[in-house]
Amino acid sequence: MTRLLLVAWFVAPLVALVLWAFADSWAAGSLLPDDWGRRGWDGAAGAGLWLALWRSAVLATVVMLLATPAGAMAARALVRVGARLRAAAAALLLLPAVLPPLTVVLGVDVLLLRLQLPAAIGVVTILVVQALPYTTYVMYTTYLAHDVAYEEEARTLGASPARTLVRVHLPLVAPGLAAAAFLALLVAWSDYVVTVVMGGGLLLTLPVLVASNAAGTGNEPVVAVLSLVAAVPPLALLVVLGLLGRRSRRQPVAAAIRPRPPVAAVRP
Amino acid sequence: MTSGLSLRGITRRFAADQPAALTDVDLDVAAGSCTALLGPSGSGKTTLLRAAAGLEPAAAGSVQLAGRDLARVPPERRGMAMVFQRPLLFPHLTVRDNVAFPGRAAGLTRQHAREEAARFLDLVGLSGLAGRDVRALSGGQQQRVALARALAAHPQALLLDEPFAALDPALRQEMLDLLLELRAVLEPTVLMVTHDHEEASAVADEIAVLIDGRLVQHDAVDTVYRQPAGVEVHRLLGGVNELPGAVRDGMHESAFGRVPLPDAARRAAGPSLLLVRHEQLRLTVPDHPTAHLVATVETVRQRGGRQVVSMASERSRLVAEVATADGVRPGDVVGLAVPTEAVWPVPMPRSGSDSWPATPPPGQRPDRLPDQADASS
Repeated sequence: MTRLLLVAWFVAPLVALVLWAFADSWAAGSLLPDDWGRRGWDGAAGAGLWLALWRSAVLATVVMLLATPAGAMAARALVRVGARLRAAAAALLLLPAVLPPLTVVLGVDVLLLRLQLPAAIGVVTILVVQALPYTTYVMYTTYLAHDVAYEEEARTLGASPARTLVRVHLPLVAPGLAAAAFLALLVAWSDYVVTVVMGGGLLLTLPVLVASNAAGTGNEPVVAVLSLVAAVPPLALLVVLGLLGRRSRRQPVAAAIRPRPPVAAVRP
Repeated sequence: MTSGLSLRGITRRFAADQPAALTDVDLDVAAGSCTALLGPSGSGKTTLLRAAAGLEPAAAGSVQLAGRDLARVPPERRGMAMVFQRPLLFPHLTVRDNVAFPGRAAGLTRQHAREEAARFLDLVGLSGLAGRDVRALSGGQQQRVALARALAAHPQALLLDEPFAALDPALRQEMLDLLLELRAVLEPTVLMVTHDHEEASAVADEIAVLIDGRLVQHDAVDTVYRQPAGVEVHRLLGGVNELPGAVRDGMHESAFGRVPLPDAARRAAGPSLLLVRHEQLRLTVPDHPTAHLVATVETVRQRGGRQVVSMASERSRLVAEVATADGVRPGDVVGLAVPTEAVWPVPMPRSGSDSWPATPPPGQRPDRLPDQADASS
């Protein structure tokens, strides 16, 4: 019962969204839309949906590619430093997640204007900083469970540091890296405040487009289409990651069969 | 010794305010031989092994392998492979590709490396499991794969860090037998860390004893047993008997009686602790000509198929492990035949309070035999 309620809690808004995306008109009080059609899709395309989707994808990918390795390296360092230093460093790293984004953004905006850097670089920089607490935290727990002895073993078996990194270290922490990358992607994908303020309203990403369209009235189908398109990629990624995770945890049935060589002797 | 593994002056200090983990350790392992590095936990055994492998860059001293000085040589170019207590098989690779890992690292093609891997898997008796996921193997199988993987690196020295400590006794015996077979076939130079003297004596040619970061003794296995360098070594080798007394005219005198010493120890004199291997003592009647020691039985306990007889005098204890102690009961007075190779005198430790008079009081020899105490084994 609880589970059903939970599912309803998550699914109900999506259902409304999907219905609105294909509704040409939906009078208040009707259970279902009165007219079905492509008005929402045409409107969204006209508002620049596909370009915004592309911009969001590029922005999220860039932020992910920067924040994930940076978080991993910070986490690895955190695991290695002493306990006292670790608490202070962890607090510092979590700061961007604690501070209201607007405070940070307004301050940095002034700085970047003085430095005369392109707005896009400012957006990426701030979003990387905002994603860092999440990537660092995920990688920190990954590295706490990670055993350096695997890498030491690889070295004594003749693997160079580079080979050890690629063939042993990265495969071992891959699940953590995937989770961290996903979170970094989400931070950038769903950001509105930083993009608007730093981008000066010129960097039209999907959330910015959604917000500007939602501000008006009467274009619910357009907003629904934009929101739906914004929601699908993360959901799809989540499903893919889940499937990959399940595959790597799978244990072959062979575990049950354990042929052992005959016992030679019993210890006196 | 130049063709084997040679450690010189290895010193490792983890923090300035702590005692050194290793102090000036010199150790030679002849090519093709196996030395067991024996010591209590925390004695620095693993650190020494890691220093040899190049995994402790901060360790001072020099490491040579086959005449090559390994200063500043990274672990992957040292020609040593290490097997840890945990198998540490790479979980993302199959059994075959784990064993092929060293070959791939050495630049072999995938196919060539896998052919090699098959050979080494065959050697450890696991060729049937090549395609398996390593997580599907039992603990013993995993450690076999780890051994095969280390051998596949064609190491000039094989370093084993308590490789069988996590296995149950039957499995451990299997692995020891396997290691002996591998030694016969491949003749690798082996340095094996262990805290188990039985494991050490089962596999190794020599035992090096490390206590508090210092190499206390390094000798052939039976020499370490027969002539331990001190009480700590004796205890580490499972010895339980330490009789305080004094050496005079090639005999050791204690509260239990007089024991002839081995030739190598006859020149000792003065206060001395006699270390006695409990498993070599034989029970007899107190006035039997071979009864060097006479003692009163306190307890008789079973240990596996053998029996452990504990005896005491006023100030010291004596334990004998015999095949059978039929009829011996607490309170009985028994004689003990002590072979000369079962004893070794060492200077009295300077503990102070527990000192023993140089001349022990004469042992009270009983007039009457215990009823069935002549069941000497």
